[in-house]
Amino acid sequence: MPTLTPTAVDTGMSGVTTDRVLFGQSASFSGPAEELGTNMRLGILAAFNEANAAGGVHGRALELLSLDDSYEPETAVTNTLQLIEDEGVFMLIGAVGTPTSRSATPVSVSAGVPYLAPFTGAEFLRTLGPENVINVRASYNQETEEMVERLTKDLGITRIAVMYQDDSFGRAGYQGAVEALHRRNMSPVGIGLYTRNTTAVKTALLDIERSLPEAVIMVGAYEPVATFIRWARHIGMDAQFINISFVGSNALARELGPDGAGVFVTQVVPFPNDLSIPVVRAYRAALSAYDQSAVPSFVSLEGYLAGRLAAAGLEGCGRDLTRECFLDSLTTPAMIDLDGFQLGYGEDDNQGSDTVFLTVLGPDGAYYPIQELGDFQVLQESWALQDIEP
Amino acid sequence: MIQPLRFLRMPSRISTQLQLVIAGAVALTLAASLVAWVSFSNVSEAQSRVNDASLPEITNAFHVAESASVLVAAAPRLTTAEVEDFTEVVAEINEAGRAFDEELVALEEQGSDEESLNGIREQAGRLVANIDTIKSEMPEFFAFQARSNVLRQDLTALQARLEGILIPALDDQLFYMMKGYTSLDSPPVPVEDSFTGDEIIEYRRISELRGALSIAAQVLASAFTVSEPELVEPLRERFEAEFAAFRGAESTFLGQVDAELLEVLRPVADELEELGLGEEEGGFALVQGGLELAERQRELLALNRTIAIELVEEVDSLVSLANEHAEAATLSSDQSIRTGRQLLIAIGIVSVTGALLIDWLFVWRVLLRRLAFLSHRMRRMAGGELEEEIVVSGRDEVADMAAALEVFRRNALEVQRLNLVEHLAGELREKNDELESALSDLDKAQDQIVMREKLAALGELTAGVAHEIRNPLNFVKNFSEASAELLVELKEAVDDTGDALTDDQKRYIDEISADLTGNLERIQSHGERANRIVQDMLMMGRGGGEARPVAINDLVNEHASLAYHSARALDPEFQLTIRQQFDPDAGEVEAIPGDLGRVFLNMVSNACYAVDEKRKAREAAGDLQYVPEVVLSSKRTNDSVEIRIRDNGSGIPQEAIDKIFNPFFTTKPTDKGTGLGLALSSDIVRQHGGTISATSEAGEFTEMLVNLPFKYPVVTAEHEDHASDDDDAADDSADDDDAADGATEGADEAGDGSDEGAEDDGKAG
Repeated sequence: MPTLTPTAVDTGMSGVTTDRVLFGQSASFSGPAEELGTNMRLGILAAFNEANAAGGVHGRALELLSLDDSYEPETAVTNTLQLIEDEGVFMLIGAVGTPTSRSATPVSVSAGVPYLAPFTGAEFLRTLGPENVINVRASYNQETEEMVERLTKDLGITRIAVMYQDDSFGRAGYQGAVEALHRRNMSPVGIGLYTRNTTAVKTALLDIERSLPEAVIMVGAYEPVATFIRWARHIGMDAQFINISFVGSNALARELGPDGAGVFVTQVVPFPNDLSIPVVRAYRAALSAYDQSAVPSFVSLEGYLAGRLAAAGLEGCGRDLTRECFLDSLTTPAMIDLDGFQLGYGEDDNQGSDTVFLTVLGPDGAYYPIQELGDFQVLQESWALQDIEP
Repeated sequence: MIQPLRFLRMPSRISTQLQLVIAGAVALTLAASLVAWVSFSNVSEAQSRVNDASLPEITNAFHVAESASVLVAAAPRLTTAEVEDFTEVVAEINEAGRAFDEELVALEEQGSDEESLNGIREQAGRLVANIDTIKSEMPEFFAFQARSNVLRQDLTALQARLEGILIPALDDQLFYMMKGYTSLDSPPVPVEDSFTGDEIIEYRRISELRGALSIAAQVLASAFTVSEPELVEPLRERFEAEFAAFRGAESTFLGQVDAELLEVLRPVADELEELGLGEEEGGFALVQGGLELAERQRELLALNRTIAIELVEEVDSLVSLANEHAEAATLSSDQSIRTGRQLLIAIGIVSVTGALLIDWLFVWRVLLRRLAFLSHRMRRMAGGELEEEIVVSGRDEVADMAAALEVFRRNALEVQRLNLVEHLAGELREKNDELESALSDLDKAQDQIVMREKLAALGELTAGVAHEIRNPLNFVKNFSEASAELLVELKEAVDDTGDALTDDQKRYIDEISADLTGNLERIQSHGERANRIVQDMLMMGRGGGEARPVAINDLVNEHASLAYHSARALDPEFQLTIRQQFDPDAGEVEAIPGDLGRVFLNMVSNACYAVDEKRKAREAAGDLQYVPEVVLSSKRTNDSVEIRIRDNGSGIPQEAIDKIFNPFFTTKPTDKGTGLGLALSSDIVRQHGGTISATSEAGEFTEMLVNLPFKYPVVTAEHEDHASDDDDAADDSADDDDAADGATEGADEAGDGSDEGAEDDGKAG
């Protein structure tokens, strides 16, 4: 992580000097969720770099100080304390994970520090969540709702199982899925749990296999999820696998390789290779300006949106920057337009986007944006014509 | 008379008295200063007692109290100190101890109560010893904390490793039993081969291993949370039991559990056992040692509290003793201040009373009252009262002044008497002058009255005479005209006779008739002149009508133009430029317009005549440059208005100018003027209360000045009646003879300018 030489603090505001604003990030830069933290940081830095190249926000450069919590809640708390008390950051941005955020938010709440764009869709950070939290992405509930909606509508599936990580993240996704099913007078036909930070998913596989599901909603990290899918396919289980965005799409694709063909992932940001979308074009331009060799991804796009939102909040405050002002500028009912990507906030709405996007893994290990799950059949036919072997 | 106070037996001179009073005031001031000085020195003495003794004592006592409180708080601070700031805390405590000792020594030197100092010293010694004990144990305590932190972190990592080994092992074993798979790469065995009793036992053994190790790790973790040393032992017993179970299982399970798993598991389990039960460094021993240490600290802290309370009591008694000393000193200082204040108040009262007495007895009674008496007498003398004698008794300066004033009064009295005589002589002269002036006024008035009476009598006379003369004059005129006609007839008759008469006869007759015609013309001309004179004489007695406001500018202008046109009618060659310089503010004058108008008509007619004369003379001399001109002007003054009529005509010779207002004086040829115009005008102007005058230079100009008051003078009843009688008489006589009127008409029209007014009167009649 870069160490920043502190410059003279001439404003009363912690982390704000005449020429810079310091942001803090505690995320996983090691362990099974490493890729999520790294890409969030990459995206945020691309947005900051873009703003700084244009002279900063009200003459101040945006800087990011990131600490590694390895997706461990205890470390997330230590890091957050260190960022607020020792490093004196203006605000926190781009935390990764539900259990980590759950532990870190009380710290940021008591310090009155804004907690912007955590990489999680957990419900406790939303509707009735802490006042200093501002979300970019749609919630896990919205993702699981979309999953159930698409599975039942597009594919007419009725037997849906849920495989989830045995922690607050997994339970959040599971809860969302169960509620979505209940709304349709359904229940999960099978449930499988696995212990966090292990790939011991076979017991869960056995449990789910026995329920003969047509589809499995998966709320977990890419490694155990990949293991699960590979084993499930190995033992001949015929079901659709649909993953929640947190899985880490690129890592999942890499883990699965050709075995991943047909695995669905719901996303909360647009498809990062669809250059017809203005915000994606802006993102790609910023990303390559920041790092020529960086590979576009859903996570870094989410990071980019987080960075852009932070810049918009600072812009709205003017030169007299305070945390209260920053939070006010984003909680006053308003629509923030990031190159066509609309983020709406209000008094009881701290979540900017409500949109869930669908993607599917192709046999080539790449993602394809789709409008409905049935689109995969169409894609497969086109691949067959082009002689691409799944 | 004022008597200076005798009973005081004061020296008689005021200067001496004043010096005595000032000396008294100085004495009082000195007394007040002395009292103040004594009070201040008392206060200062008390203050220095406070400063030199009580304040240092209090200060030291407070310092002792302060240091004592630092010492009292030292032990709790030590026990809660973090390892980083321990050295700093120890240094502060040592410093406080040293300061405490020094303050005690200082107090001792100041002679504070030996007993309480000894008590304090004793308690402080116990406290310091106790602090030292705690201090010596702290490194051990910090070492315990550091060690237990490391141990707990190791334990967490170890638990994760154990789970990482055992959970996947269980997962794999179950999956193998159910599906026959061991890995993705190898083909599955049939389920009847994988789902066997042995495999089930293996699954159970792994579960037992996991259970034993998990519980052991959990028990060790919970040891760090207990607060009583006695509770550590049961936990250690439980840990040992779980490990015994694990060790037993480990040997028993050989062959039942995958040897590879046991190989992986054993070092981790050994580590856990060492973590819990290791000699010296073992978790349980460490926790126990730590808890015992904490227990000891608690006891030491309790002891610290007891000693602290005793020390604080001792120090409090010291502080309150110092306070008492200070209060006593302050009290004596207060007493001095109070005494001084009372004395100063007393002196103040004496001073004020003395001042009031001096003011009343000396300033008022001796000085001011007598001076006021003198001043009063001086004012009366200034007002002229010099008769009363001034007597002020006594031998002081005021009495001297009174004596001097008395001398002055006598002198003034003399002077006053002399002045009176002079004054009376002056008054007499003034009266004389007034009488003389009144006499001259009286003379003038008498002249005027005589003049008026003369004029009135003349008017009456002329009116009567004129009336009587007019009839014969008419006969003269008419019969001379008739005779002329008869002569014409006679001549015709002579011419008709033919040859009856000889040429000589005819020539003689012609000569005689020519002479007769000439005579008749002369008779006619002189008759007319006589008529005109009569007319003018009548005018002198006439005039009248009511006075009313008249715009003076308009009046002058109208009559000037009337005069001009009359002149023009008589002589078509007549030329005149009339210039008007009227004051627009001239306004209205109360006047009888007919009378006053006649004045201006007369004046302008005279002017016309004068300029025409001059023109004719110039033309005769061949000079054609002369431009006849009359200037009419008016000017308003305070209560009157001035009217000037100036012509550039032939002027009036200096010797004539004094006579122009006399009746029958004229410079015109006998057939042109009657000499009554200006006399009449002067009469009319005086009747209006105004004045009339003339200035002139022969051959250059003539200027007539009329000054008229705005108000028409109120005439006495007698005078008015008289004037009315005149008018009536004139009118009546004019009416008496109509035939005469008709006969005079032609003469009227042919008369000079002053006749216009007469025509008006005739019509009015």
